[in-house]
Amino acid sequence: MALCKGKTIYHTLLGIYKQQISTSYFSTNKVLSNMYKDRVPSVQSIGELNALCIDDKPVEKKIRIPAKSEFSSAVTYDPIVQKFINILMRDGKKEKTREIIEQVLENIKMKQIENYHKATTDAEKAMVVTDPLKVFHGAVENCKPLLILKTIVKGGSGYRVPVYCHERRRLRVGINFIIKTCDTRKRKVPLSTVLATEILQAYNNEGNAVGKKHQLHKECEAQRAFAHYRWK
Amino acid sequence: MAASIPTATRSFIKFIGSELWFSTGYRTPSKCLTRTLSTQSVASTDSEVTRPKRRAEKLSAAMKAFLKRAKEHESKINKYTEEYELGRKHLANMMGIHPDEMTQEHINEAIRYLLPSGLFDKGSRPQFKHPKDILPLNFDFPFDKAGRPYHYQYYTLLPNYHCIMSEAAWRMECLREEEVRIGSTGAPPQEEMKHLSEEYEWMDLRTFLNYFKSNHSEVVQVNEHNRFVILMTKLSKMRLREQDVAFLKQFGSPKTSEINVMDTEEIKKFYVNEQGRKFRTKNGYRKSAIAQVTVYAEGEGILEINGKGIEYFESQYAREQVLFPLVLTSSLNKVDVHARVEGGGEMGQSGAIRHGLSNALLPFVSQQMVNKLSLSGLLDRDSRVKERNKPGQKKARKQFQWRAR
Repeated sequence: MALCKGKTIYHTLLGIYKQQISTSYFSTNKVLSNMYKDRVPSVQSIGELNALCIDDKPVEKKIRIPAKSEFSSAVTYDPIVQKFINILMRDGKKEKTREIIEQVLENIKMKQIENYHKATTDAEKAMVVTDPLKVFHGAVENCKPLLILKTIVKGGSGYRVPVYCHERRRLRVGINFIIKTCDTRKRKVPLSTVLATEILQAYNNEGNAVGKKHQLHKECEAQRAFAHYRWK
Repeated sequence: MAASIPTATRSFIKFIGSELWFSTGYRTPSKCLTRTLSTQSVASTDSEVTRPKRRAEKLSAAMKAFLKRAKEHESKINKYTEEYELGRKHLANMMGIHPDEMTQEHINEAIRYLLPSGLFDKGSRPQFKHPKDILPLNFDFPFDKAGRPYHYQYYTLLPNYHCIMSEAAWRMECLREEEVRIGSTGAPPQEEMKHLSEEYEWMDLRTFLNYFKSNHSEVVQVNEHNRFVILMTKLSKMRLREQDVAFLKQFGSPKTSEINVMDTEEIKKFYVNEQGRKFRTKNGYRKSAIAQVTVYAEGEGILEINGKGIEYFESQYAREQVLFPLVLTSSLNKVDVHARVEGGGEMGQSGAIRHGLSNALLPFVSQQMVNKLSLSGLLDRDSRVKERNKPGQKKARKQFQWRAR
C-alpha cells in the first residue's frame, strides 16, 4: 500500500508546509510572537492595497495583525530602506539612523549628478542612473549571496555546510556585508559618506561588500564535500 | 456497580426490587448485534440436542469465548427485566399511577422526587431504566469459525477508519498511474477525468468522531482526523473520475461562499452636534497610551492634538503615523480632527491616535476606503506591550554578569 511507504506521507506534509512558507521579503508577521498566532497578516504595501480595493464590495471581516509603525503612505516610504535602517540602528535611535540614511541618499544623488555632467556623449549620459533609490536597490541586490555557510555538528565535530536560504535571510546577509565594510573607516569621517561610496561601488559590482560575497561563494565551493550533511 | 452507591440508598433499592445502573461507564448500544446473536443460538442447539454422527467442527477459542459472553449477557438481561418490571409496579403503586400508564418520564420524575441528589455529574445521579438501555450490547463477533477475522484491517484496531484511508490512497495511486500513462503515451483516458470546480470542506472534528462512534463504534483521535483531512485535500486536487467524486462526497461538501462582513450599522454610526455638525468619537490604544479622537465631517482640515498642531510630535515617524489614515483615505483636508492623548511615549501616543482616528473616520468615507483601512490593519489594536522585569535579572530576559569560580 502506498500509504505505508512513508514517502508519500512525507510528500503530502511537504506540500502543506510549502504553502505556509512565503518567499517575500517582509513576511515577518509569521515570525512574530504567539500573540498573533491566530491573526491574519495585513497588507503592507500601498500598491497591493490599491489593487485589492477597486470596488465598493465589503471585504471579509477578520482580525488582522496591525500595521507596522514605520509603514506609511509617505512618498519616502520604501520597505528595503526601512529594513536597512532597522539593521543599522544602534540603541533604538531610529530617528538618528534615518537622518544618516537620508544623507546617504543625498550624497549618492550629488555624486551621480556630478558623473552625469562629466560624461561627454549622450550615450554615456544615458547610462548614468541619477535616482538614488534605484542605485540603493541595485547595490543591495548585488550583495545578496546565493548560499550561506551553516555549522552542523556531526559525530562530535562541527562542519561548515553550504546551504541555500530564503529571500529574507539573503537580504539581511547582503545588507550586513555593506554595513560591516564601514566598520574599518577612519575617525572623524562621517558614516554617511563612507556608506554612500560603498553603495555606489556595490552598484557597479565592485568594492569590499561584493568582494565579501564572492569570498563566501568560494568558501562554499571549498566545503561542498560536506553538502550532503544538509539532509543527513 | 452497587458498591459505589451509598448504603442508605441500597436498602431502598432492594425494597423497590430492582437495581440502579450507572450509564456513564458503558458505551452506547450499536446496531451491529443481530447477525452474531442469531448464529449463536443455532450453533448451541445443534451441538447439544441433535448430536450428529460426524465429529463436530472444531471451534476456535475466540468463538467459544464469544458464545459464553453472549449467553451470560442474555441471562443477565432476562433476570434484570423481571426485577425491573416488579420495581416499576411498586413505584407506580407508591406514586399513585396505574402501572400500565407508567412511562419512562413518570419514572424519572418519581426517582428525582424520591432520591434527590445534588451530585454535579448528571450521569452519577440515581437512575431507573430498562436494562436494555443501560447494558452494553455492542460486542460484535468479528471472527469466523476457524478464528480468522472477517475484516482485512482487523488488526489495525480501527478497521473502518483505515479502510477509508487505504481506499483514498489506492484511488490516488490509480489516478497518478493513469496520468503518467496519458503523459508518456499520449493515449486518451479510459474514463472522463476532471478537476473539481469548487474547494471542498471536510468533516470537522466533532462530526468525524460521531460518525465513527455511532456507525462503527470506533474511538478515533485528533491525529487520525488530521491525517484524514491531509489525504482528502490532496486527493481532491487531482483530476478525478466520477466514481472518485462520489467517494469524496461521502466525507465533505463544497465550501459555502458566505462572507462574514463587518457590521454596517456600526460603521455608519455618527452623532450630530449642537451646531448641526456630524461627528464621531473613538478611543485608540497603543502600549500605555490612550487617545480620544473626534472627527468632524465637512471640515477645513484642522488637526489638533492636546491644543497643538502636528508639531506636538517631534519625530518624523510619529507625524507620518498620525497622517497615515487621512492620506490613505484621501480625506486630508476634508475633515477636522481633535485628539486628546495621555500616557506613553511619543510612538505610543502617535499609534494610539492612529488607532482612534482610523476607527472614527469610518462613517465619513466610502466603502472602498473602509476596505483599505481594514486590510492594512489600521482598525486593530496592537496588543504588544513591554515585557516586565524579573527579580534577580537585569531586564526582562537579560541576566546579571556572573562568573564561575
